Amino acid sequence: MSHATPFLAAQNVSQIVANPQATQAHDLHILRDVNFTIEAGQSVAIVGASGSGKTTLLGMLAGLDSPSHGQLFLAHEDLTLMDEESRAELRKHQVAFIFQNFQLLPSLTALENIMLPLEVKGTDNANALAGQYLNHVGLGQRGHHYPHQLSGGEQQRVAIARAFAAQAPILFADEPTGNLDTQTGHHIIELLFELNQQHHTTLVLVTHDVQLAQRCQRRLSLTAGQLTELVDV
Amino acid sequence: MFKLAARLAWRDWRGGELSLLFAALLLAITSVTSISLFTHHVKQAMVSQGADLIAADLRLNSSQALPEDWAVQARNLSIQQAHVSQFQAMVFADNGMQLASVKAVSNHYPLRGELSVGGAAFDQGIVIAHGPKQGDIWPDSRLLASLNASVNDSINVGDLSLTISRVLITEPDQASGFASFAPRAMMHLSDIAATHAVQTGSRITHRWLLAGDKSALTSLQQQITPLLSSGQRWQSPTDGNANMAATLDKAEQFLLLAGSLAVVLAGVALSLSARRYSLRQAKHVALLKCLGLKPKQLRLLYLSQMVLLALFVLIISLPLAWGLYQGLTLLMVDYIQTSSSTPALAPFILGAGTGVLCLLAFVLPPMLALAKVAPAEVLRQSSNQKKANIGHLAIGFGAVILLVYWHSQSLLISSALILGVVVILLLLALLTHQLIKLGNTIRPHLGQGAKIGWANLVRRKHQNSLQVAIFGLALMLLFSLVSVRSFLIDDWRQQLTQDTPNLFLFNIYQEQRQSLLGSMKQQGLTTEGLTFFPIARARLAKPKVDNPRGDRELNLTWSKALPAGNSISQGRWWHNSSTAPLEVSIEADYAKSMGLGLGQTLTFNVAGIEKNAILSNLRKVDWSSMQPNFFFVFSQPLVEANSASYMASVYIAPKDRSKLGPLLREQPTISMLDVDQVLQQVQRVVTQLSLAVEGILIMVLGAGILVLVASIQASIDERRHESAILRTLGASKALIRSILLVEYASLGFVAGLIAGLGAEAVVAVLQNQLFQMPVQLHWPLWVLTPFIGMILIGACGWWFNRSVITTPPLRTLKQT
Ligand SMILES: Nc1ncnc2c1ncn2[C@@H]1O[C@H](COP(=O)(O)OP(=O)(O)O)[C@@H](O)[C@H]1O
Ligand SMILES: [Mg+2]
Repeated sequence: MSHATPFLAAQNVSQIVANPQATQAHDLHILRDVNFTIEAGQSVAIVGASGSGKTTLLGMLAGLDSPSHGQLFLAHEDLTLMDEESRAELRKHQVAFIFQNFQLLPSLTALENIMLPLEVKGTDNANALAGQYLNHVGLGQRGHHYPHQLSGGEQQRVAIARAFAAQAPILFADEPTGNLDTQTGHHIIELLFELNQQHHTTLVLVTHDVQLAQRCQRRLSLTAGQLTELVDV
Repeated sequence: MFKLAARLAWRDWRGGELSLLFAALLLAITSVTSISLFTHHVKQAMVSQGADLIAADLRLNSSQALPEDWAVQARNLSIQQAHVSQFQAMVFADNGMQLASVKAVSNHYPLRGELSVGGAAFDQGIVIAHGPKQGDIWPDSRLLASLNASVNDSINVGDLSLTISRVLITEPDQASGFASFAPRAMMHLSDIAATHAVQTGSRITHRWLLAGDKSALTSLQQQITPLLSSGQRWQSPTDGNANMAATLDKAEQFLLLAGSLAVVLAGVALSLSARRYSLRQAKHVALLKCLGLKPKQLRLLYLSQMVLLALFVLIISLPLAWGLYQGLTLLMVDYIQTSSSTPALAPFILGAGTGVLCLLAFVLPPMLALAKVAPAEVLRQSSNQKKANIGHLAIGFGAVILLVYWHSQSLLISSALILGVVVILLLLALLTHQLIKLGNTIRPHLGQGAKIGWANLVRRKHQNSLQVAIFGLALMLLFSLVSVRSFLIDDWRQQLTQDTPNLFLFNIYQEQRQSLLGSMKQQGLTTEGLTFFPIARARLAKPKVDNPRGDRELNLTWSKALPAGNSISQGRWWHNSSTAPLEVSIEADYAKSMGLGLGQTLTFNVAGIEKNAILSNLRKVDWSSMQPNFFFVFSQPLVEANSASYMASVYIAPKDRSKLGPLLREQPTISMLDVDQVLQQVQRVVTQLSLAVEGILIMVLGAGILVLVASIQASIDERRHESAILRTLGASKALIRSILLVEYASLGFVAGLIAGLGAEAVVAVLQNQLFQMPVQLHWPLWVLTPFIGMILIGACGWWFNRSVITTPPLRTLKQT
């Protein structure tokens, strides 16, 4: 690649939120001076204790939030120089996201939830495509059920199918297998890496699953907002 | 983009997300449109009632004959016309003679209202379409009695002999003033010449009666008005009759008020549901943003959703309003009739306009603000605990005021409502804080449910303030309307009392008073409540007024005390009338139209003697009281006691009417003015209007209750979730029920309290300024309203939350 800017990177990124009840001294440092670079097509796992800032970091990389300090690059673009309008445009074409808390719209059926990214892009055969993705995650029969009629694991699978349907070159996944049993978890992991290999999708996932972390090319560890790269021994 | 908007809107609709917004908008448009349609209908009925009183839609009164070509102009505009000429003439019969007021009418008289006749004096009348034909005469009961004549006799008017074919019982346009004491007779217009009773220079009044299309009448009036001479004057239906006009005016104000309240309620309902919708949409927006929708696209998306919603609601609500209105008029068809039933376009425009404006003011701002939701919101369990946006509230408030003004065209109603809202907000700010303090001190002594309930109240301070403001506003509007309705109906009911005088007696001399009472007793007539008023006839000599109302013989009276039902609007009533110089009190509007001012010295010509009197005060007269009312009241007698003439008023029951003939024969010098027919007309109108007012009240109450329900529902989501969590923690049904009851009942109590006080302020302003009535405080109202609020809102809150108690908690948790 002839780009001078990195494909996906954080440079000196900090996130500080004011503690609503106290003075400056008590400000909460969610991320402290985070630095890393990810190449296109890589698979990266972010691991860390609960509350260490993984979700916050992932959201920032995807351009969902802006950092207090530092620079972020997504698909060679400097996110911190962009306005919300152009970040939205970038997300539309580059990013798919699997949320920790699924974020399925309660008023939409499973199938319609999956159709949503296709519809936003204006894809013609959204319905048929969404059906295929639903089959992929093994929920072909549940397309017309509403989120509240599905179990946590099933909702997670719908959320994953929705992310696949976006057909984006970069996929962010926040604990994608957190609610799944071992067997379904395996199946989903296979799907994720299939995507990575066949379509050269860049994978950035947050996980507690050791097996999943092992399958990634790189592992980053977050501890109290500070990032270190784990190197295999 | 529009396709996506439609698709998302459809899914929201299917999921019930839009249903509250839909219902609120439907309520807004339907209630405003149907109330406005009904108001329009009642107004038309009022105008047609007024039209009956002048027997036409429009009348030209003239002291000289009218040019021929005016009739041609009217004919060209397809306007119906009739002519009436009225003059005084001696009427001769075999057994007597009598000065009578003769009314000569053309073929088409009356154009509006009903004429009724009988076969003998004081008969029950039968309605008849036209006046007497040529050669016939219809004397009224009094004339017949004083002439000692009966049907089929011949009587002479001037030189012409006419046959009595019927007895005149009622005329639609009988003058209701005291101008015509003389007995009356009706004959055909073309017989006038032959009587030779009307010579050049004799007093004759001409009336040109017109009826037809409103625009045609207006254009005729515009053509002719510049040509009118000083003795010619237009008369429209409402300025014919002072007491009727006063009643109609109050009714119209009430209808406008009620309509305005419907507008405010609609606004409140919409703003509530819009708030709820936008809170629930925040997640959608954040997610759509993650999927790459730009803020601009999101704004367009919601804008098109709103347009779709508005169109959909309009398509449903306008016919619905029409149906409602039809149903209501059908229910009242026996009571409220109009001559034309052409649907008016204005109410539909008003209703649709109100809906669209409410949508723009209440729904659009929060929707557009949605585009600002940060995409990172999806990463968290976003809180629904957003404070109300002051800017959005201000826009909404401004829009409501604008709408109320549009609807009522009355600065007064608009400002009374603003005052009410301000009172509510002030009380709210004052009370919330105090109550929470109070709660904190009593909390340790409460039961478990009440304790948690109180804690919840305090925790949700801001939301609760908004909630109380809305409950309070809705309750205030309802309380105000109910109490305005009560005092209005009370006021009208006084006119409906059975013993309102329906007969006026004139030309009674000092010494004749006892003998009159004796004769009445002898005939078995009641003399209860009969009071004598002294009367003198006089002319205002100085200053010369340029108004035909002042330039004629006036009926004057004198009194030490302020007559009942009168109130002083300027100046002071006299204390010691016997020693001071002569003072006079004049009815305020009359004085104004004559250009007379306080402190002026006026010269009256009383039977050839000039008397000076100082105008010391102006009076307001309740014209709807049907008591004898006088434009002029003096502080001292104007004539010697033994030459004074008196008038009296008395109620004669229908069964006693046949005794009036014999009474008149016994007291032949006394004149009578029978206002029974006018009174019945007024009572009929009052009955109709009372019904209309009740009908409107029910509609607005319905709208108000719906608003309460909507606002409770809007508050429910969060409480459901909490209750479900409490259930999983093992709270009993009874505990949850008591928590909810404490929360909603306290909210209701506070809302009721401030609503009562707010309503008092609104009603005081309206009573004093709009309805021109003395202000009364309604203390039972404030004592009651907190409890009404408590019960109403407590019950609603409990009812809508009962599913939380009965459904398994997991299901509730999954759905929220
Ligand atoms: N907007 C915010 N305001 C206050 N604290 C926040 C906010 N966002 C995140 N945090 C805090 O930052 C920390 C990291 O959050 P998160 O990134 O969700 O952690 P993880 O995903 O690693 O469990 C947590 O302690 C969380 O409470
Ligand atoms: Mg997390």
